[in-house]
Amino acid sequence: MDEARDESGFTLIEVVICVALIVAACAAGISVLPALVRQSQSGVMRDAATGLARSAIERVRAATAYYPASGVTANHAYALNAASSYAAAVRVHRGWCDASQTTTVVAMNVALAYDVTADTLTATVTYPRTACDPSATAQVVVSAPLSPSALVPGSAITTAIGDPSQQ
Amino acid sequence: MRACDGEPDGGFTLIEVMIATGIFVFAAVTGFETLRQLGGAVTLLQQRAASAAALNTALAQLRADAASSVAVWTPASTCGTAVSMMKRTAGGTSFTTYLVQNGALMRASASGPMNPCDGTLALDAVLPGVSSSSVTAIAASALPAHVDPVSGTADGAIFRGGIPSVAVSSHAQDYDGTMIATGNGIVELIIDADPAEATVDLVAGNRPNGYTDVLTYTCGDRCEANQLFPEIASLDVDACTADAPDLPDSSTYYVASATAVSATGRIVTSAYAVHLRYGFTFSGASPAVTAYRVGPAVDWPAAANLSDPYPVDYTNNAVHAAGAAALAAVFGPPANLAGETAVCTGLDGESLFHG
Repeated sequence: MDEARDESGFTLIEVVICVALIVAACAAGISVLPALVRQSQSGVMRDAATGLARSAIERVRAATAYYPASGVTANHAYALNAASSYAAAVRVHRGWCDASQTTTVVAMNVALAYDVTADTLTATVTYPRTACDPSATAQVVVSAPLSPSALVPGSAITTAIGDPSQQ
Repeated sequence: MRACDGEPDGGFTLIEVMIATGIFVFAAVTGFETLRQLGGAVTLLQQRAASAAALNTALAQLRADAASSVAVWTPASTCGTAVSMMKRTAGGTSFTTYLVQNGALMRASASGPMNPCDGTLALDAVLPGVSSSSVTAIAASALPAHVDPVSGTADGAIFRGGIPSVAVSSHAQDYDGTMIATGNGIVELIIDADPAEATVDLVAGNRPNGYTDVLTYTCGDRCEANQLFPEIASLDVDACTADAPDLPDSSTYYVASATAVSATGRIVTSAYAVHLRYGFTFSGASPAVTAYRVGPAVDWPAAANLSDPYPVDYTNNAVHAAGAAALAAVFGPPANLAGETAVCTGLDGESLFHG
């Protein structure tokens, strides 16, 4: 069995090329990591932004709960301005930008718009996709009607709150 | 191994072996470090995803419980952050309490109000890893000046001034005997947990309709209106009172007694009659329950209608019912108060409220 067998094996250059390929594959795996981390952060940022929007809407719902949808206006313009915005923030953990950090405060902007005709509030939250790069932003938009069935007023109050000039 | 044909030996030289060994060692160390980083990153991402999912689930559960409740409040607690909710469904009245204990958000349900410090509560873990928490009751009138708890900036510019805080009795007592009030207040719960600190504003979703009848909860799909508290249906009344209290923003004690046609052709209420509020307490109820219903003040002169029971405050965009003092000035004390008080004793809840 020794006459036809090629016993030269791999040359050094072949082995080096093979190792280089393996190293390159590992490097490619590493390069994917930041993208995965960004994706993970983006999901948490989006959830936090959605939470800010929902809280804003809940506050408005509470404030408008006992403003009757009168026969004159049929909306909650008694309690609400047409639009506003404010700077909000969320606090995230686990060293998002720096391994030594335990907490990072991420600034977000909340814009509220009240549609009088539809009696609907829209909260638009602009948030950074990652905690460490505020330049790349995205938006979450949450809309909700403000007149649940529980707020239908009685007839007596409907006539009482209307603008007297309209009666 | 040497070849048989006399060719030179093809083996590696020492330097070649050393170089190859060095390369292999370098590759092995690099590969190991890469795999270690990959493993750590995957573990971190998995933990972060699981934590985010758990936090979202907990917040969704809090919001869902609040949305189906008729009252959300902060019970007196010396055992950490606590939020309680009361629900009324076709199946009766039930209570839910969230509390933070031992670094976790816990949830307990019971048929009666719960003391957060009660060690016998059946607690279900909702969210582990809560490093800190706080709860604040915010009146609706304070919303224009509300401040974002993290950024520290005011976030109430959407609100116009003069929002009234409306407190409506839920006709149920908390574990410590205080009357549970509902209305348009907010309970703001802040939970600091991995991966983020979350602020959730909780509002009772099934609000009693303060304009029509405080005994009638006008509900969504999870609440059947006009259901008697089942816990008092079979109990006897052991005391009752009657009064005409000042209940802001409620038409319970005022009913339209006459209408007229305005100059623009609208039908408007021109006069109102006043009803009495009857309060009943029941023997054997634990915790004690006081239920109310409203009846006409028949002994008041029929002609003594109140022309404007809801003075409108256009400056503040608010409506407040005329108070007890205004009623007394017009009507004087109701003549049938003593009689109504005497006859109610001995009745039971079923006949009183479902008659």
